[in-house]
Amino acid sequence: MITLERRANVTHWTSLRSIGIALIITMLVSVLVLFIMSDQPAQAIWQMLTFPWQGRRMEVQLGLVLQQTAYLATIAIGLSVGFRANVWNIGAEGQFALGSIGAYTGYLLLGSPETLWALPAILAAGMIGGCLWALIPAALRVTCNTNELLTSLMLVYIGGHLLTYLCIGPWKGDPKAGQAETYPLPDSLRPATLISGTELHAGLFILLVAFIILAAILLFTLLGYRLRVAQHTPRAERFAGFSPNNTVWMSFAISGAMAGLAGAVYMTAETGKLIQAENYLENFGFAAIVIAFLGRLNPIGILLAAFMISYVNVGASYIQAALRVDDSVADLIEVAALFSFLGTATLDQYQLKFTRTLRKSRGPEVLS
Amino acid sequence: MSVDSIFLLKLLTAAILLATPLLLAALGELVVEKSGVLNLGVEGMMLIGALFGYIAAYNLQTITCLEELVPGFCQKEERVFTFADYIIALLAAATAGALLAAVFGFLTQGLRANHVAVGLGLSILGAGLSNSLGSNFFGVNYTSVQVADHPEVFGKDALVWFSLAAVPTIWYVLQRTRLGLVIRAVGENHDSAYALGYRVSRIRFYCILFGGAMAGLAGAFIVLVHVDWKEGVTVGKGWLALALILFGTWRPMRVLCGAYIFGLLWASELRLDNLFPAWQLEWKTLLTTAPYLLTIIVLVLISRNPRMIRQNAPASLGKPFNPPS
Amino acid sequence: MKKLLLTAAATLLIGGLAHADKTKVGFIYVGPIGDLGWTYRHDIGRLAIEKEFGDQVETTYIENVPEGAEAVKQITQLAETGHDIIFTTSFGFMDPTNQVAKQYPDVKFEHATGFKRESDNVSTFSARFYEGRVVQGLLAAKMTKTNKIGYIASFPIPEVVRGINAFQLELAKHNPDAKVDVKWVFTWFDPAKEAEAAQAFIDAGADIIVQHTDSPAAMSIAEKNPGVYAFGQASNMSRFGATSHLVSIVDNWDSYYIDRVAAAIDGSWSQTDTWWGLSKDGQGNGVGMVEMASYGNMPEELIAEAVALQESLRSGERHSFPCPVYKQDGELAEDCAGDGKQLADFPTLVSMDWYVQGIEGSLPK
Repeated sequence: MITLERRANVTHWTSLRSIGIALIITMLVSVLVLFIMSDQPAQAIWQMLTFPWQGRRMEVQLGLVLQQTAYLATIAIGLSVGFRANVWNIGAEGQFALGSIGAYTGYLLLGSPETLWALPAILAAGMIGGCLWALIPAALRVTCNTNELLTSLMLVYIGGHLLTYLCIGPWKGDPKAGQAETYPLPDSLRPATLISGTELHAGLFILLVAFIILAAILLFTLLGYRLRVAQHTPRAERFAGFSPNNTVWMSFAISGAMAGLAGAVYMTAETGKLIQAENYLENFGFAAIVIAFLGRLNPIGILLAAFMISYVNVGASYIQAALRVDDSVADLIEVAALFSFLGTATLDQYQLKFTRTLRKSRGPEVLS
Repeated sequence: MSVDSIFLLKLLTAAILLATPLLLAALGELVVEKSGVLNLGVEGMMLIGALFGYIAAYNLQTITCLEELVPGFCQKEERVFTFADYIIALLAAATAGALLAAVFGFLTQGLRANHVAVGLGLSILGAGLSNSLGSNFFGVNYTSVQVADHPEVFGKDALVWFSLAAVPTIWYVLQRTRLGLVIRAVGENHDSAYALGYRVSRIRFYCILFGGAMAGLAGAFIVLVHVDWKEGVTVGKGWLALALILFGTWRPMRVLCGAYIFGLLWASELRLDNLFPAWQLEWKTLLTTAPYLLTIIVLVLISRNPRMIRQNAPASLGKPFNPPS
Repeated sequence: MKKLLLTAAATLLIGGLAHADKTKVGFIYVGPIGDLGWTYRHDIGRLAIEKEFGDQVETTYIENVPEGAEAVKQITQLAETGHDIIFTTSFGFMDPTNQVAKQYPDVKFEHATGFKRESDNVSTFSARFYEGRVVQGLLAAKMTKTNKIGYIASFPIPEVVRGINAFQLELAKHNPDAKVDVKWVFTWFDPAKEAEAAQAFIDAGADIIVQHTDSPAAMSIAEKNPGVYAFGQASNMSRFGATSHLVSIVDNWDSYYIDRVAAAIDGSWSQTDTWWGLSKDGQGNGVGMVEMASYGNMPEELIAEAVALQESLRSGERHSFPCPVYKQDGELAEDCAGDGKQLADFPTLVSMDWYVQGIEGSLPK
């Protein structure tokens, strides 16, 4: 029988060790998955690890990885603020959509400008859009004590339908487009591509700057300190000078604004227009929740986790094209990572005890 | 019968197809939540259940395959799909759902990992696993199971009756039996339940397995009765089932009503032309959001009334349980 | 671990050498090959290439690619992994294909059903599916008892609108009382939604279901409702409707795909815009991209009439849009105003965005 026993002292060493164990488990599972799903497993594993150097141009692959990293990390760090304080915003996907819609609204309100100077205003409009959408569950939680986890989730679906509605209805673009979409922004408004032929564009720098600012606030300021201690108990939260309600407002506003900014950058840089939801949304909002937990809600951890998962995702799409391996391997590896990181996190606080006898009914919890 | 009542009858028939999987999944998850666990992986468990139910049926049923592509591939003899075969397919689906739920149970109850994170991971896992297994299975074989003649009882699929019968049964078990009392005690206050000598984690683990099995059945209903398997065939019904429980304030009867209201709303979407010929296409798109909007409104209404929540909501829902050691 | 890496490196090296002189052919699919409709037929085309060229080629496909930013990434990955010719098989891949093509001038791109060729290495191809719709219009006119026909349409793009119009013109000719009701589902492949739409039509009294979406779901629904008939789309769907299937329009990409890959191998590939119907040239020569398959569940005389109509369309004796064609508001189509005998390919048919007379409701704009 295995039992869990609380550790007397928790050190950095224990948490490093559990991260190491998690990484090893993840790798073993990944190898296993590739062995099952590929008829050339050795090739698949090798190409998955080294894909940037396997293709025709290394910068294209690295561009794809960094592009995804930027979106995932930006959204995830916003979410981590609330998760630390037990405020559950799992609606980042909807806030991302509303960020895109907000940005397009900004573009229309400015009278469809042509110059790049309008871009900051458009991105700000996106941030506001995402933020306002996130404040709906916050307001319901604070005023009516409604479960924010479920309302934020419902708003993902409403946001998606709103996006499709706008593309089919009021903002409908070219009827010959083959899908419901709006008219595109002028090329002059779209963030410049940095290296020709890659996905690296100036918009990713904006996301990086937003990430660094929020990370600095969380790590080095009093506000960040308050938000960080808020997770432990409501009592500590009050000592730190925050009412629980303010924590809710703050968490949702920050995470919504970050997801909204990501959505705005996505709209201006990647698509240049709004498209009906199922072709537009790439699940960054949901993947970011996984990233936040993989990074243990720590800014540096989030950045590393976002890079790792993006590398796996792009690698999977590479070996799909090169070796015909279905790219759902990326999902499987992502979940293997999440589960092993979450599972081993327990080892920071508890240690496994192997005991012979099973104590009856009143004993400590027994793993079955 | 007037034309209108025929129309309404047909609307109801369409609604049953949409409501039954919702109801099954929500009833399973209701028991899970009553025991104090929030499992957000319903969508993933439904997908896995759908795939395995479909594969089981495929192996048991008449096979349709495309001879023009693979001559001589269809060498299995055709056989009639009996009621027993149908039950086997459903059991396969329930088992698959429960196995996936066991992963959740192991991580949250055994290793005390965060419910929300693991539940979301479970949804991703279910989608990824069913996609990869599904494309291996069907992509290569070019086959499709047809379920035109699935067994019916009194003109409806057996699962429809099962889901309706499950409503009073689950109510009875939860409210009137010792087992139900234990489950509710664990969900209300895990520390006191623990002090009373109940094995909180083990009870919760079994509830999680039950939830997984019900979600698996829900998935199987979609692919065996409604449409053929495809990737992501559940299209968000698992998430809606979660909302449905709140909509029904953790009461089986209200969950039943909620499921049928959602089903009717969906079924109306494509029939609005007949009801309101003048409606614009884009308005109908907005109507699809009605179940979600309605859920939020109901959530707000019930949350405003603290008594309502206190009476029905499991007090320890989603809270981490750390037994004193 | 070291050993594993060595083996990996060795396989890579050997693999790389072995593949060096093969022509790599890539496909981007909008749905799964198991859709048994549109994507399935493209995959049959891919297999035809493998059969024709054997060891000379290596083919790859990527299924379920959404028609947004995701498509750019997937097409890029095919180009990056050394594919020489890439077929993108849905209308929505038009802009992504052209965008990626500019970055890889040495890779050849073939886009199905589109009209944009922004660089020299992009060709487009499509089929005159509407010729099959004419035959369906005749059958629907003769087979309907309720005079209500349900038409499940995907997106209001010219290809789909042409089909609806061709169908309506022939339908009205033989049965002026029959009414077509069009539902736009805004998806190519969503069996649940396609089935729902079919059921909604049947509930409203329709006894003929026409679809311009990719899965056989609507056919299965028709099969469950006695007295309701349906047409197969993209592939032969007769197996899904033993008692309800009238005829299927089958897409046949094989000969086009083989032609283009052969051209890519021998270096004669150049930009083209191909539009084949029942025959290659519209004059009855060659096997085209459209086939009619498995007439059934109707009287023998009707089959003979339909086959005769099909033959006259194939030989060019008859056009699908003969003048006079009136628009929904009663106005005569521009091409017919002068001495035109039929609607012209360019620009009328290629960019058709209006309904013909007799269809109710408005085209989503």
